[in-house]
Amino acid sequence: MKRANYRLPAYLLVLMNVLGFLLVFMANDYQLNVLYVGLGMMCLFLLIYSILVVCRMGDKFLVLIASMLMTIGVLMLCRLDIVTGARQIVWIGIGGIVFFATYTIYYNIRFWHKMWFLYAALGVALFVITLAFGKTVNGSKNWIDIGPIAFQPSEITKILYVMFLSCHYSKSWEKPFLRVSPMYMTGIVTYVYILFLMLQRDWGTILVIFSIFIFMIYIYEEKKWFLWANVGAATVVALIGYKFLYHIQVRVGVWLDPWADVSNKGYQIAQSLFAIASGGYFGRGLGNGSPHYIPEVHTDFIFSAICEEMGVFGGAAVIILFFLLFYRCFKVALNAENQYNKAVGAGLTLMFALQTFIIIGGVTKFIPLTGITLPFVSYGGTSIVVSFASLGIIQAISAFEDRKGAEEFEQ
Amino acid sequence: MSAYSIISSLLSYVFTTIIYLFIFSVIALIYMDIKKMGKKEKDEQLAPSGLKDKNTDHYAILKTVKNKKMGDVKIKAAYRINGKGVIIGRSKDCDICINHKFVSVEHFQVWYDEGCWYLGDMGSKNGTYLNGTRIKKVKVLQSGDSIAFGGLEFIFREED
Repeated sequence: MKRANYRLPAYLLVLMNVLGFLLVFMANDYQLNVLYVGLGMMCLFLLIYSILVVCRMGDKFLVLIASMLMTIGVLMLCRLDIVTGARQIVWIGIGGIVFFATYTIYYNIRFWHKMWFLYAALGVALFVITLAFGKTVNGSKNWIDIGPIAFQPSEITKILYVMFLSCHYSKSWEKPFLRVSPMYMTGIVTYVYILFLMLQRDWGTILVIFSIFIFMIYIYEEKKWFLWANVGAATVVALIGYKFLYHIQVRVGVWLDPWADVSNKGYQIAQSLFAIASGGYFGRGLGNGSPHYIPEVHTDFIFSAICEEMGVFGGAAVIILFFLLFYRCFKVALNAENQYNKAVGAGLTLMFALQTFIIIGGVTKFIPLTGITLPFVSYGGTSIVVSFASLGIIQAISAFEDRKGAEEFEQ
Repeated sequence: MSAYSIISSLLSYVFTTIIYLFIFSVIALIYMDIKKMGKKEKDEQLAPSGLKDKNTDHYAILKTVKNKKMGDVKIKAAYRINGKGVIIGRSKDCDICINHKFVSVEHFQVWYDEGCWYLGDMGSKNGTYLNGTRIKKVKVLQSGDSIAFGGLEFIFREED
């Protein structure tokens, strides 16, 4: 059998970065700063990968695949707007630090499964703070300013919510709280979160949180009626929302027929479809397309821009990379021995997968569009940092499994 | 058409190639990973299947030898084992569960077939030792043999 070549993917990653940043360097009047920034990001990826391999910190592929996704995303952002791209690289740097911090914290604390109350309370606290001090961007009140940086607390809530659900589904929280059994408590907390998110008009996060809830019930809950009850409740809420909320009516209307009002409401999705169509198989080349016609192209609609300038093959490659990432994450969850870690791994992977499905489905007009970020690819500080943090947790879970062998060997 | 857009169009093919090469190299690595694991799982199933109902009237005894390394492991003085095969390991699903740090999840297996008792290592991390030598796969057991694993020791004795 051929020996495993763990360096080849890393070399290809380097090659992609070098060529990509040389192109961006050309596009920006040969400013040397661009090259420094690119070199910095490349070194960051290599550093993280080498630390993981050398220190035996669990699964080697997670970060590798995520690095490739981030490279594609950053190249696209640098081409759209060099300032945004540079800012994204700074966020990736912070994300790398957060990745190792989360890894260390999660790996060394062993009582995560006992703190369900803390997770629920922190989640509610974040919502209250957002409602009190938040500012409104694009109709959703989900941003908080702290000094010069703005962040979205709802992204952090997602991780807390997964950890909260895991407490129940790993059977480490079985005592009723105020005579309400944990199963009903998870339901109550979920609907409270959804109520808060409705007040903030953050529909994308509602969709993600509720889907995580449904899928976790599907995986773990023995009482099947609870699943059907929640699916029924979701249908009722969706129908009521469709009937009474103008915002949702617009989204669904545009999804059914974007050409009816193409110059106004359907403009965004129509431009996205034009962009995807104009790419062809191999794309028009970085910098040759016209993605600026799509509003919000650097966050939600980055997938359309990738399809335009890297072609259908490029877009498919992004989807395949996501598939590989989720496959590895689910495998980590399956291999985990600790029930709590298993549930957290599955929940976080679901979070990634649902987010990817919702936004890629949205921009290709497969499902009605809701604005959320594409993990690791879209521009967004909170999104990148939180994705890194989730990846750090999954990495720690995989390290538990990997290192157990090592501990035994030190006899 | 400027020089930049020509280079960029050409590079788009290069980028696509690089990304797909990357994907294939990662898939190749993952495939090897799975193959390794599949092999390990195959090794763990040592006792031939179909013994379940066959050798139920053969018994043997595994007698524990006390030593200092054991610490406070919960372990009986002796185990009576059945010829249909028993698995010894740290997992609760094992027939004999020994919750000790150096015992693997499924450590070794003992079974009876066609007039002989067999000992097989199930891919344990610290190995199984028959009379002081580490066994690779399956060895025939004699009455009075010593089985050492993860710092613990059993004496095997056949029951008539």
